[in-house]
Amino acid sequence: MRILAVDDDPIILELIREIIGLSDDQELLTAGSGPEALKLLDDPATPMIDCFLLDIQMPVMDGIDLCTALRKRPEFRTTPVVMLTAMTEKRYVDAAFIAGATDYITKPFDIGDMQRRLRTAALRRSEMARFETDASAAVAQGQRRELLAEVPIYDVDNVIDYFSFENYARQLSKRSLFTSLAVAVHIRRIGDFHAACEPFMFESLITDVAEATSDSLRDHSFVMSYAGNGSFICLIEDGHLPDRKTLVSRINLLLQQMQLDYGLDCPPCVQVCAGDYVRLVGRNSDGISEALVQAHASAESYGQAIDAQVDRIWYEGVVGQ
Amino acid sequence: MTQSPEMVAILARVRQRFDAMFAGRLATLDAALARAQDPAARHAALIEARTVLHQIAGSAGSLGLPRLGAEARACEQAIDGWISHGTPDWPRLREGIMGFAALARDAA
Repeated sequence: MRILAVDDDPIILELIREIIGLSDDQELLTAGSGPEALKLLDDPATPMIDCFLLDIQMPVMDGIDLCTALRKRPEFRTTPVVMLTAMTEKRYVDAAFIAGATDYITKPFDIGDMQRRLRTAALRRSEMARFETDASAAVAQGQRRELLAEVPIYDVDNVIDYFSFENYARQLSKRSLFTSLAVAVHIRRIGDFHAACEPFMFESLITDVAEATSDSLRDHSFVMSYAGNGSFICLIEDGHLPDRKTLVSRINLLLQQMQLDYGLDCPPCVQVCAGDYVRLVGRNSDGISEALVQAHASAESYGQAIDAQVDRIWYEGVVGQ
Repeated sequence: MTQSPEMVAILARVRQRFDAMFAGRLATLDAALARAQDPAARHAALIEARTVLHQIAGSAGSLGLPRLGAEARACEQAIDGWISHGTPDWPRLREGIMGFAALARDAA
């Protein structure tokens, strides 16, 4: 794995060089600033980078702006970007992940931890390369991907991939957990859509619902991700949050206004439901993962209950005639 | 956390480099503090001091100097506070940075 580390502190770059020197399969390039990094990447002689390690606080261009600039380049759209920073405040963590960071290491850091995180980044890099190859093959052969599979969503505000989302959740400090909630939004009858839509149309549906959900939460501080099976999980800062019914109504209204068409003969109406708000206060890293699962399960179970109720009404109506 | 001999050796090598640069960093900090006595030059001088403190805060803790790193971070945050809302006031901020410089000289 070839890593580009960008930091204005030569001591940190030297420490990274020493750490990476311990691995046989890692190679390091360095830059002392964002513009220097971009210039290096523009040089045709620079080999392909597999992972970025970015400081946040740097003069001229900070690491968050650099991350945003990297994500605009198609070749680095899914490349792991690990922030390596002394900035621990939630606003920096939020901004970094929203800009496209996949992981976040705070200084001072432990060498062993840095090695583990770089190995995880390498695995993610391979996984994404495989994912992209499989996705291209599936499109070429007109194959449907699994309902649980990851769907890439780009350019929707505050929506990040699930790998980064889990890392983001782990970064929330005890102080920010006090005011954070998890809630999941689930697309009702997602199995029917998955079975009926062309693969590309199914991905469009997921992106459209991501957009409607993100728009509905725009007045709040939040980060969200697609968790598969038609469900999105949102981590929201508490404070004048809409109740579940209002949130669902807002999303469904936006979906209706979008006049969606997925090329189906008999287009079913796209509607979502939401699960319970799950508080994160008092949870450790494992507890946060459990909260995400709980939020996810709650939304899916609401969706099943509502659909079963609707089916019963239809059935009884038919039987009654 | 127990560290392998390889990691201990890495930290020792990078620490040597950190120590070699440290006197220069402290001199930059002293010069910035001296310039900051002039109210007209204070803002720019404190931005420079902040850059030095940020770099020390970022690396000292990882090199086995956690107190130095934490104190540098506290001074960096105090400068942020002064820049964004004027607190702490200048005499207190100056005293804090000078206190850090004294601690840093003891640690060096």
